[in-house]
Formats: sequence, structure tokens, C-alpha cells
Amino acid sequence: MTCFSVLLSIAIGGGFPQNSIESKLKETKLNYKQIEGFYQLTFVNSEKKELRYIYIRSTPDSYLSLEKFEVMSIFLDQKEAPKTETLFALAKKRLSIGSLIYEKATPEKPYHRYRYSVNIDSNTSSEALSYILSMAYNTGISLEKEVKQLEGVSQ
Amino acid sequence: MILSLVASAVIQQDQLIERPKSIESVLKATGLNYSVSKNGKNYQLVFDHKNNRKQTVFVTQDATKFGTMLSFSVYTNFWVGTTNDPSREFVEEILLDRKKYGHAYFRKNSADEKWSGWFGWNFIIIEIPTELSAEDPKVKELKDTLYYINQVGEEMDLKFGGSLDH
Repeated sequence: MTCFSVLLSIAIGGGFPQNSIESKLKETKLNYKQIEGFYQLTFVNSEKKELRYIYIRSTPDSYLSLEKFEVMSIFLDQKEAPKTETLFALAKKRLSIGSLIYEKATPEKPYHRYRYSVNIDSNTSSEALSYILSMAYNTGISLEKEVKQLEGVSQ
Repeated sequence: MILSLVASAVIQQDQLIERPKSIESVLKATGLNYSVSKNGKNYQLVFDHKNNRKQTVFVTQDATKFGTMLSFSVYTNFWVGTTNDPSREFVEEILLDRKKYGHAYFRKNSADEKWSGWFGWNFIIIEIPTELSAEDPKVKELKDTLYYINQVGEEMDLKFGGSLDH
């Protein structure tokens, strides 16, 4: 079994939590920093010396009584558009929780982006939040391997 | 933290757990009419729309377990194609038509080999309260999740489903 360490990076500046998701994030004891629109968590695979970011949107999306924050793992940015076979495989891909999102390149963002996305409540417990963040990390790794394999990109 | 102990969301059969009785009690507490789907694997709810249109929303009876969380799929059909592959442009257009929650996906039916388009999201629950009422937060959440999938499904059905009502 491989153990990963979590890089305790730049902690957010002093003061009290600005909202409940941040207070839950603080309870996880994971270190994070706030960037524009997101909380950014840094995960490090100490064996592979590989660094990966997981993001939580700092503003929730609402629908009726629902108020959910998006947790995302951006696992691949690629200059080339996906092959048709890859696009169809992604379109048929089912995950047991969360979504695989494809974003097409634009003039402002000249690369095709693939990310894993899952939503959480502001009242999610810190234990569940830790679990979901770790799941997003692991799912990002799995999906990256899968997409690279489909695209014939070296791992 | 030992991250390798945490599951990936890439589906693994051993994560599927036995059907908990609990989801039906939450569904019942929403006060919405529901029935069991033809294949017996889902609960289904039929919503009415303008011009006698209808949208059927499904909730899986089986859950996937993640740590202490149970995840149920809530989903709907918005398009049915033929046995021919849809065009790349069509698939791309649907994948890029992002909604605030959930995502669209395609299936190729193993029986008739027809393609279809679906939209789904997850309802996540940890513990079912012993006393359930319509005002319970998880009951409201499931009800609003059903309304959300219904609304997105009907919008996508109108946009991509052509003259048919799926």
C-alpha cells in the first residue's frame, strides 16, 4: 500500500472562516490557499514527487433549496482536440459519483481541458469533505490514465 | 492521510451495495407520486409539462457506498437515436452544454443497439433520520434534485430531442 503525504501549503490569512465550507475545510486540517473564486488544495505523491491540485469553488450554485459547491480535479490540459473515439468513450463514461467534464479550447483558453467534478453541501461534515477531496484526487489520476491511453499519449 | 484507501469514482462493481430500504422512505416523504420502473431497478416519477409533454425521472434503488456516504443516481432520458453512431458534432454539442450540476451522457442499448442521451446527477445521503417529514433537509434535497433533473431533462429534450417527447 502506498502512502501519500499531503503538502500543507500556504494557509489562508488569519481571521475567522468566511463561510461554512471554509470552516469545514479548516476542520479537515488540510492546508489550502484561497485564489480567485476557489480554495486550492495541494496534494503531493511523495514517491512520484508529483503535485496535483484539487479546487473547491468558493461560491455555491443554487437551485431551489439546493446549494452546492463544486469540487474539481483538473487532470489533463491538451493542445489537440480529442480523437473522435476518445470523445465517444468520454460520452459513454459512467462514474458512480460525480461527472467527467470536457471543455473545448477557446481563443482565450487555447487547450482542451478534462476535469472531474463533484458537488458538496456546505453542511458536509469535515470527515466526508476529506473523503471527497481524496476521492477527487484518486479519480483524477484514474481518469487521466484512461484519457491518455485513449489518446495514445505516453503516461 | 492514506489516499490510496479512498475509492475512485470510476465504477467498480464491488462498490455496489445491496438495495437499502431507506431511499424509498425518503422518496415517500417527498409526497411525490412514484412507481417502480419496468426493470424493477429504479423508482420512476413522471412530471407533466406544457403541450401534454412528460418527463420521466429515475432514481436508482441500488446505491454506491463511499466511506460513510451512499450515492444514488437520479437521471432522465432526453434523446433517442438510431443504431448509427451520432455525429461527433452532436456528441460534442451535448457534452459542452453544461448545467450547474450533473452531466449529460450517452448509452448504446445492448438489446436494440440504439443510441440514447441521458442527463444525471447524484443524491448523496449518510444517515436516514428515523422520523421523516417533508421538511426534513434530505427530503427537501431529494425533492429539489428530482425537480432539477426534470427541468434540465425537459429543456434538453426540447433542444435536442426533436419532435419526440422522451
